[in-house]
Amino acid sequence: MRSLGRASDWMFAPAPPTRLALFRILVGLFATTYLGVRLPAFVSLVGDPSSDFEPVGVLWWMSEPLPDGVWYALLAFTIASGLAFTAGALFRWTGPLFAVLLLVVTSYRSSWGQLLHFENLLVIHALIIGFSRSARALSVDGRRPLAATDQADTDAVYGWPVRLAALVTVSTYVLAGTAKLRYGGLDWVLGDSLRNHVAYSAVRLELLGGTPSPLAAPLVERAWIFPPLAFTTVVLELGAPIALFGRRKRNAWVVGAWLFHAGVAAAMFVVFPYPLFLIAFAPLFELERIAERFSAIRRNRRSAAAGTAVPVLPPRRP
Amino acid sequence: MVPRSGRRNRFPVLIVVLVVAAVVAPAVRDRASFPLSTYPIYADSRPRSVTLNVAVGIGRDGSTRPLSLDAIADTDDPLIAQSTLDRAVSSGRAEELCLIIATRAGPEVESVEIARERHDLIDRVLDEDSLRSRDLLARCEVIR
Repeated sequence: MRSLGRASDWMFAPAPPTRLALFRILVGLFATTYLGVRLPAFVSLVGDPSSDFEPVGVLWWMSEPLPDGVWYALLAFTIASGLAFTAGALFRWTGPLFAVLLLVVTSYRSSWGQLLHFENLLVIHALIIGFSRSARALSVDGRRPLAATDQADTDAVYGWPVRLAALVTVSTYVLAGTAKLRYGGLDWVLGDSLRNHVAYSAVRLELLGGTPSPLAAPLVERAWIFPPLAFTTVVLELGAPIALFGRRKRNAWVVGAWLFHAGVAAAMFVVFPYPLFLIAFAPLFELERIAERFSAIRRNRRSAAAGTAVPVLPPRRP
Repeated sequence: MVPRSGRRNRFPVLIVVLVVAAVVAPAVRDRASFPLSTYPIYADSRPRSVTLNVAVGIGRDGSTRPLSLDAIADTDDPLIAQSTLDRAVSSGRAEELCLIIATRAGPEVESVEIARERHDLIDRVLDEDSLRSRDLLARCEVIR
């Protein structure tokens, strides 16, 4: 009961609105840019044979693909609402709208026989933010400048969505580690599975007309490297909850998880952009300190212009 | 430390519990979907030898030429290209896909083949003879 109470206190601790607002901006900016950059991949679904259509998730009820015009309109609305989401404009409507549209378009993209796992965490985070009071600060709606948020505004309502997003982030890593033990067993950790996976990625790319990673061959040649790498991967994934217990542990875990993704991208050309750009790990941090740093720099510039100076970093909160 | 409040709003508590339960549920049910998943990416025990459906171009001199991801599946994603080939083969539409690929093949390609090939992964990466078996599934000419 005591630990449940402590967990509840952690989850519902008050936070300034800038923390949730900055998380909104990061996720919105990433999602909208991602949709823009990957637009050709989304658009190219038009014309795929309808026999390949296997709806997943919230689209389970669909019996045939969307008409082309509807798909184009959905993509356009999603990107437009993503811009409003990021800016915090009419967020009461655009927040939930973008979150739901993002869920729909990414579900639709995964409904063609290949579940893509690059977008899962992004979509869940967008849903959490979209249905929270994320536009109280740093938004068109709030019309509050960077420096205008103070301690008096702190409230649990700005804290728990970010903590929930952090909890979801670490949960997905634990699930990935569990899946390796469940489907691959100890052989995944102690055997040649990881080596074969790296080789498989390279061979598949080569046979399908792509360019494999130049690191694949030198790595595969050194078989001894893989069992320690596999062990470290599973420990890192199963040990993700440690990131919730203190700054040092969080920082160490985030560095480890980022290096893991960077290593996968370099050796296998399998890129998970959401964690590689660190957005997946953002809810683990006190993001408001970024806003505070910016506003302190601005204050300092103004003070310098007026002939006085103030510290760049505000005092750390208790 | 934040003082515990006996009057804490129950709605956020309910949301937190539901979201965490939803995220963990696929692992309990052992069923991956989107966006809730078991995250089984590269989680299986991968054997050294694998069978892959491939599409290759055949040049005028009879030599094999690799086709691009774009030519095979109008994509830049190998997962999608692989899935396109696998689905066409498993549903008996290899010939149909072969004809589609032929329309996208480059000028140096005279014909297109879709085949099921068995490779030793390590040998292939280390530039050694890796092909263990090959079944031709479809062959079509490029019409210009």
